[in-house]
Amino acid sequence: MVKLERISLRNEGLKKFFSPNEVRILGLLWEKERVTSGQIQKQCGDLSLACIAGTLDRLVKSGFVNRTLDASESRVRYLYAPTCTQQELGTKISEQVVDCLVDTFGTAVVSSIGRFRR
Amino acid sequence: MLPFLAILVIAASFLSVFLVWKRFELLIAGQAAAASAIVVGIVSMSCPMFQWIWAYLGVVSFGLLTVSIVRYCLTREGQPNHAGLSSYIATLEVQFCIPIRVIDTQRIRAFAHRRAAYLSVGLLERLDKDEVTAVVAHEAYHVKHSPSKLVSSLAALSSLTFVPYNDEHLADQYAADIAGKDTLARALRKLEIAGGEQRIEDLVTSG
Ligand SMILES: [Zn+2]
Repeated sequence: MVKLERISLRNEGLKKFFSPNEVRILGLLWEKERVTSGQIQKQCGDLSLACIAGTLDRLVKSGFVNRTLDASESRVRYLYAPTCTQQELGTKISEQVVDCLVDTFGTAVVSSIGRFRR
Repeated sequence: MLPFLAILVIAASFLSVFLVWKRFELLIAGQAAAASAIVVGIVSMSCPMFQWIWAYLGVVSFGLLTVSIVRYCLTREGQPNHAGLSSYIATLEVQFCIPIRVIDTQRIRAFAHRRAAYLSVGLLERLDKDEVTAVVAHEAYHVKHSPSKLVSSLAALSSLTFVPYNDEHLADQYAADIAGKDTLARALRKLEIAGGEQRIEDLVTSG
């Protein structure tokens, strides 16, 4: 669920719905599945480990990212993967935003969206 | 027949205590109780007077069994349940004789709370085994030296305010003795805690 109060329409791309760090990390996860926090840190060299860890915890808590524990005798680590593709995310967010608009403006929204139909 | 069943139940209850808490002192107490139960069992075959001891042992072991099952159910949730992880942790639990809980976060966190040490998955991921040992040693010191609730509330009542100002330093000393100063300093750096640099400095200048 994208928090509706966090949507900022002025921002570019996915930053309308996510923080810049969340967008960077989501982008990495879509490129390559099952990534460790170490691999993410290598790709985002300018971000601190604490910042990456916090962002990952938040993405997992909000349900956009899934993590599994990979543990053996010699090492313990999380493997991260996105819970949905970029396209599925688009559908999810659109439905949520349209629902909210319909709640507020009713049929006006339906006719406005009708413009896009061929 | 009955004494043997009773011995089985008593043994099972103490085993469950060990598996849930991994406490050796409880295990030894369990062994002693089981041994005495066997002796009492043999004696009671000829003398029915000892049967109240059976009843007592039965109640105690049933209680222990129930408590460990409840505790197991409570602690199982929220803990990453993985064979590799539990063997990693179990070694440390046995080494320091304290229960260790794992917190589900990528952040690097370690603390002691209510007679157990808590480590995050992020910490286990980022610290090598020696550094983890240093951190657990530090937390184990807190677990073993924190005053019990009774003692601290008595101290509060008698307004003898007990300030553990020296505790961090002593816990660091203890950890350095076990894992080495350098290892502990490396672990402290990775933890990025407030006052970490001061603690590293104290560590280097002491002894
Ligand atoms: Zn401490």
